[in-house]
Amino acid sequence: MKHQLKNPHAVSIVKTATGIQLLAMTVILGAVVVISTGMGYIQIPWSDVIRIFYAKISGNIQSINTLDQILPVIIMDVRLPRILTAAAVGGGLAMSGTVFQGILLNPLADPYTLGVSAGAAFGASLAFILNLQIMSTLSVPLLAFLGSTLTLFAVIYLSSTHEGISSNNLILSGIIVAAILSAAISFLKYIADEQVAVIIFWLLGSFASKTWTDAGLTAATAIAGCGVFLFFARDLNLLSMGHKSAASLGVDVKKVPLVLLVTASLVSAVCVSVSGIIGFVGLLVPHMMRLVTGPDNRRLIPVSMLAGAVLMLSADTITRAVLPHEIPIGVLTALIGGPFFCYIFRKKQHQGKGF
Amino acid sequence: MAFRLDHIAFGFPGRRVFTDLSLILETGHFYGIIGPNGCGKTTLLDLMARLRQPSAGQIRFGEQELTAIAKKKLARQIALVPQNFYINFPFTAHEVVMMGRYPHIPRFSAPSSEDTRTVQAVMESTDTEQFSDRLITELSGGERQRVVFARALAQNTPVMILDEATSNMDINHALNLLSLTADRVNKKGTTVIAVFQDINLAAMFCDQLIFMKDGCISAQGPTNSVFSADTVASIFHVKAMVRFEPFVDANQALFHPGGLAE
Repeated sequence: MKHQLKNPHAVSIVKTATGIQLLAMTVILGAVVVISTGMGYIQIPWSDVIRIFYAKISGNIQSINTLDQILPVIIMDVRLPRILTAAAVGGGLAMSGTVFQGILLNPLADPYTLGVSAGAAFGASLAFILNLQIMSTLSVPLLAFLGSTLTLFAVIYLSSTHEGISSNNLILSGIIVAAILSAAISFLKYIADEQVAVIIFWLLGSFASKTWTDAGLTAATAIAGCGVFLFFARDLNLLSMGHKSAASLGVDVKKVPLVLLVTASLVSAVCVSVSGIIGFVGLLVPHMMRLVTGPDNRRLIPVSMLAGAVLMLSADTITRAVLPHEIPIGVLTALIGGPFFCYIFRKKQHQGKGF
Repeated sequence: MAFRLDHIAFGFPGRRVFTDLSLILETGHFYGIIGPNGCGKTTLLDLMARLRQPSAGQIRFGEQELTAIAKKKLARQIALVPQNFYINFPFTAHEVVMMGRYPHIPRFSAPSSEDTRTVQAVMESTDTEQFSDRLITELSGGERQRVVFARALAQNTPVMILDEATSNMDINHALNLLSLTADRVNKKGTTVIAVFQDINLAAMFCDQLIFMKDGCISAQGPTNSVFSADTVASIFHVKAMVRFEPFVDANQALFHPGGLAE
């Protein structure tokens, strides 16, 4: 603790450390993608996976003629869309969690605190009940997305005062609206008859049978969101000094939190509408990564995104390829993430750092 | 002229703070604002730092209307040490002081060597360098306040607004930081507007005092002429004796523990 930051190279050391962390996370993500693509009912060696990736990207199909012709189909049409969707959703949820915790100045905030998940769940349940024939495959994600965004705006409306939005009001409004919506979901389940199993399965979250459309949509959303978050990352640092300090350092304290809040909610709404409710990733990853990168959002946000992608993909691969029966991923993340969160929480208490 | 407030009105829902307040503050002075709790001192600072907008009247900063200045530009003109600050995330003290340089650093750029030097110099002079690498969440209240004060000094602005900025510090550090601030007033022509609870501390450093009561300015002027027993009695309703004290080279008050002034 007595070490002093005397040398002017300290800044460049920090920059290098950030570069190494980002590079390491990117390499790990790449490795996890390759390894989990090879895993499953039909095991494919990772060298063949890389050959197939390379052949598909370069367009040089000749180079994989020696391999079983079913393998490229399994990889490109079955496994990769699911894998990329899982990674994008994990990254999106972790990144939004980081931003929610930063804006709401509350370490318990995650993409679901503001009722985003309850809104999505209500929308999806409604879609199953009404059994909408129009745009049959899209009706569930579309209504889930509508549900979560409408909920978000209701929550923001409820909590806004003449002085802008306060984090306590937001969390309180989020909890109230989520409570109302979960009662409504219970009612929908009650009247659902044979649809009730479908609703429950969706609520537990799953990446089974995801398509390239899902993967593209979530990845594009996550990347766009990451761009917005990084643009405002420095302002987000200042906001954690309190609104008065942030304003005196040039941050627009009415506009910036709102832009970040809406962006983070839209990113998580897209994630939820594609995958169902998957808890704990958005809560846990920012806490874990803050121990590695420190609280500076310019480092924390990109590292959290990559870590969330790695974690979600690993969890999905466990349910898909390791466990004898596939269990819903939302159950798995809660069963692993919950106790692990308790562990980190307890450890931080012992160090006297609180949150 | 640094600030000119013309017929300002401001209120919170259900409570009026100012109905018609006018005030002129000149460049290069150390202003102390004194008044009882709830008389609108912090609100006045908030209005000048543009954290709140008056419901009527006009505030001019220099030659311009305050609202016409871009936020980033204003952050290079006015630094603020707020009264209540909470820092929820474990930034290091050095990172917090560096935040004072943000208004001078483009969004995606790293701090220049000048920024690093400024932060280093400020941390040395404010005696915060010793916990440069410690987490702000682990510091004591007074230490944290010194870091936040250092951040405002690092911002290096022509105007500083201090809201009871030394309230948690021990007397040694309070005197040190206020002297640093007074140096800037004398050498660089910085304008300082500071709210104080301790009227004697204010008199030591401020060349101008502004006494407030119930959202009005009740007295304003050079410290030694406006700081009198009568003023203190009428503002705070306490019995006080005020005399020039050569040891500190300013008027100082002694308060009677018993009776309130009638």
